[in-house]
Amino acid sequence: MKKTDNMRFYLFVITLIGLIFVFSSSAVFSYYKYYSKYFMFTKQLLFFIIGWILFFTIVKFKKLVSDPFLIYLFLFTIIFLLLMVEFKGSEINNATRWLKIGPLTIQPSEFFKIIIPMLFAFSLDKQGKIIVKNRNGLNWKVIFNFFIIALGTFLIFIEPDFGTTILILTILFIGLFISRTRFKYIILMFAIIVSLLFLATITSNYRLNRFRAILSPTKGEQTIRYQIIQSQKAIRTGGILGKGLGKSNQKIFYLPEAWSDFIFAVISEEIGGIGTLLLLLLYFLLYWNIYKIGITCKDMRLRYFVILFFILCSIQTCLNIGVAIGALPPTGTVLPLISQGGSSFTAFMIGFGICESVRLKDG
Amino acid sequence: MNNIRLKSILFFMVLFSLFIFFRLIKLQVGTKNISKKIQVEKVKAKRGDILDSEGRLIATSIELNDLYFYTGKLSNKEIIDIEKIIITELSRYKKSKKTIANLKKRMERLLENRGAICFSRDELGTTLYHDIINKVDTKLNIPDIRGKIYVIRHYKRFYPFPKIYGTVTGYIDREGNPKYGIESFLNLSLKGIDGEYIKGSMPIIREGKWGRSNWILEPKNGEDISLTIDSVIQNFSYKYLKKSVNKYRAKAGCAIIMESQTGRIVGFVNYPGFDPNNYSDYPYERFMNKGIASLYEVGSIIKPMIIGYLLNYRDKDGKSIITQRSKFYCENGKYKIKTGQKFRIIEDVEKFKTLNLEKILVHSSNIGMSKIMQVYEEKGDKLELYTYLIAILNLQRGLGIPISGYQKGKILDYRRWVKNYSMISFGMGYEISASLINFLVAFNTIPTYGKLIKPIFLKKDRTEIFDNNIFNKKTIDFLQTALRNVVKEGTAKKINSNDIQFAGKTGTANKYDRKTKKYSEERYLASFVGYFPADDPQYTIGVFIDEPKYKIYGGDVAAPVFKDIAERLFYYKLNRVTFTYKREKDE
Repeated sequence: MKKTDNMRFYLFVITLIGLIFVFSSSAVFSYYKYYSKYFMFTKQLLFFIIGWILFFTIVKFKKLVSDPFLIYLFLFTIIFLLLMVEFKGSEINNATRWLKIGPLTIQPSEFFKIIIPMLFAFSLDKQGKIIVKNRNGLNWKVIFNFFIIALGTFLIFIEPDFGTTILILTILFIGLFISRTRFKYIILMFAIIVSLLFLATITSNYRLNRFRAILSPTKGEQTIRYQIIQSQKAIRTGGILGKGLGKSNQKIFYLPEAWSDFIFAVISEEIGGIGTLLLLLLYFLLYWNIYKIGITCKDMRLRYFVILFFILCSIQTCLNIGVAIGALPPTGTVLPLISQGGSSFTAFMIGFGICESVRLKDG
Repeated sequence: MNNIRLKSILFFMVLFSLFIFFRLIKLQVGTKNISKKIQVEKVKAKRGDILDSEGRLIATSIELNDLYFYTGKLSNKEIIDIEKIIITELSRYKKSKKTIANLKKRMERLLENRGAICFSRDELGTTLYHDIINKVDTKLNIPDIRGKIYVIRHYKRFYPFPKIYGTVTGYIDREGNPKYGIESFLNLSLKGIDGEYIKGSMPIIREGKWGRSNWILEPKNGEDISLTIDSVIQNFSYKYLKKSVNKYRAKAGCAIIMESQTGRIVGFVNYPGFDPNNYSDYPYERFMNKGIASLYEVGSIIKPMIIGYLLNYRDKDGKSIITQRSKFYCENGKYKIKTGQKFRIIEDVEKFKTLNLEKILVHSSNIGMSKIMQVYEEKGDKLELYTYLIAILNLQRGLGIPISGYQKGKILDYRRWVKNYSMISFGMGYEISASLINFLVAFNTIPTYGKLIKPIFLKKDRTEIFDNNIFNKKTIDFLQTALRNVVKEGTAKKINSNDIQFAGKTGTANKYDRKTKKYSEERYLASFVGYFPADDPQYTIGVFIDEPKYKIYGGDVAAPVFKDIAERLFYYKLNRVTFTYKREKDE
């Protein structure tokens, strides 16, 4: 267990790096838009503190992790928020993903990502199998859980948020895959989900138009290509050594969303190849620690949760970096723990808090 | 948990992350050529207006829209629809058949060639043009109108009072860069923030406002700037200055009108000026504002300031060097001074024997001033005079004039002053050069009872006093009487008037010739600085005329301009005073 003791340290360093780069990349924009260069930074600092408080609360009260009541409460809140988004959300860039509550803007889909591993873990029996039909008839608990997953995914899909939908489905299928589910069920489920989503898209004219607006080549292509080229330009000019902290050129209005989706480009421009290598090493160590926690955990449900959370984190990190370097089409996913965005940050801190409490429980 | 399955997933994940990792390294280490396919385009923000004190427009930006149809992306049916709208609108406005036929031809050619078509406002006329834009916008249901039909908005700078304000405002050149004047100096607040959008996602204008688009930055209009200058005053000042400059075939002229007690500049004219709307028709020298950007030695108008200083001066023992009753022998109009090996001859226009201090000012005697300065050189302190001149002529501080090109004046360092030469020159207004507005500000200490007031050009600025006690009350009284007598019986008696009491000082300076390194005998700067009404000073006016011919003296050339401006100003601004004054006269 000694190797995993450093998890908190890695987590802290990465979040701190995130804080620094959120300030670096958003200062100019904040100054132009809100007349204060600290505007976005202060917001992120607030969530930094909230995130860490949540982290330590979860670590302190380890029982919270396995309390079904609390988890379902959390779950229903998020589903409720997702429904609210659909009807009352605020539209930014042709997509309705955000919910304004007072001064805060919440993106419930970020929290929903964390729920997938939870629900999945709760659907398992003690041997780590998903059993839909047992001797007493249908297992309603499992069916209910999967219904909730389907509902949430559908709501996210019609926001529309392709990136998150694909990420959630990937996690779901990987979960099914590693829990010894039969291939024919997996394929069946895949077929059902894809056809459902397809139907949902084409039946509503309004939804169809929204997707068209995103996919429309006249508008979309130009914007997306513009973003990627600017991002690549940033990474190229950074080179191996980088330009120096705070000296990025691209963040000054050339690179849109420099503080969230494309923060990796700014990091690469400012601290160069060596800096990014160190950052990726930190990520690797952190995720490796979680993986270790996962496979040494004795409780089958928690074990599944940690492993799936590990897969979620690593895929999302790869996706974000892949988009920034232009290897993948833009998905709108953020860099875990670093990008600006309170919802994403707190959601991940909750996830890591659970992992840490699992480690302490076993050790 | 199935270990084989988990490991295979892990294996794919490692592969995936390695793929990303190597792409990243390739990008960071790879070549630095950068694709230039996608560009950012700019939309100019509306430049702020410049207004005069009464809110009249001095400079403004006129909005011009060009309507574009990019037919490459429009279907045939859509083009025909647009054509119909344009033709019905044209016939509604009863345009000539020729125009309609012409436009029809153009539209037909478009259907074949498929290029962009642009209708400018000039072509169609304003009303028709707006109607077409609105109709096309509202009637046609073209999906994704952006990129197919768009309006390019640009601004043209327009100056409604071209010549009289040219040297104050400066101009905007063809590339949109401000040159000279206020346009250049206050560019940051005037220009606003330009908008930026991604090339190819042209922002469209709906109902006169920018529509939603891929803005990187939305344009933000510039601030308006209000000046203290009054266009009426500016206009008649320009007229009178022009008259005099033309009459004496002078090279140039400048007049500055200032509210004595507040420092607000209400008129600032240069002749010959230029028309900022057609700046390219004028030579380069015209763009400069002579009142602030050129340094001059002005001659006699510095005399009251020097005498005021000497009357205030106390030596180490606390005694004054000269008093108001001091008398000086004026050598019958010709005075030789030995400077080193050479002799310097100083001459007066009129010949005098003995003059008292007041008469020296009134008749502007150079010999008298030389004698006074010789006394000071013997008994006084060099450094103190030096610091006084620097302070009163603002040689070291900026005046905060919002017109680009302001130059601080120059004076020789006091340690390098030549004995029996430099100080005498100062007394006559030579060897010390400054821009004209500095002399006006220095002179303004007399009507304001010893206050050195900063000149104000912007309406929002408040009066700022550099120094409160340049002269004491006694000295001021003496100087004011002397300056009143200059007009009554001295060098400026031509402009003496019974209606308004003027006071002032004339100046005639030989211009320094850089080629011969001597003061020229043919080229002069004639000037008059004065204030009125003498008993309650309201306005201080400086008139400077560069290289007049036929007549050279300030009293002949510059003073009449002062009188014209002052009289007109008196009836324009102080007319309430006029009525009471006239009534008294009737009784």
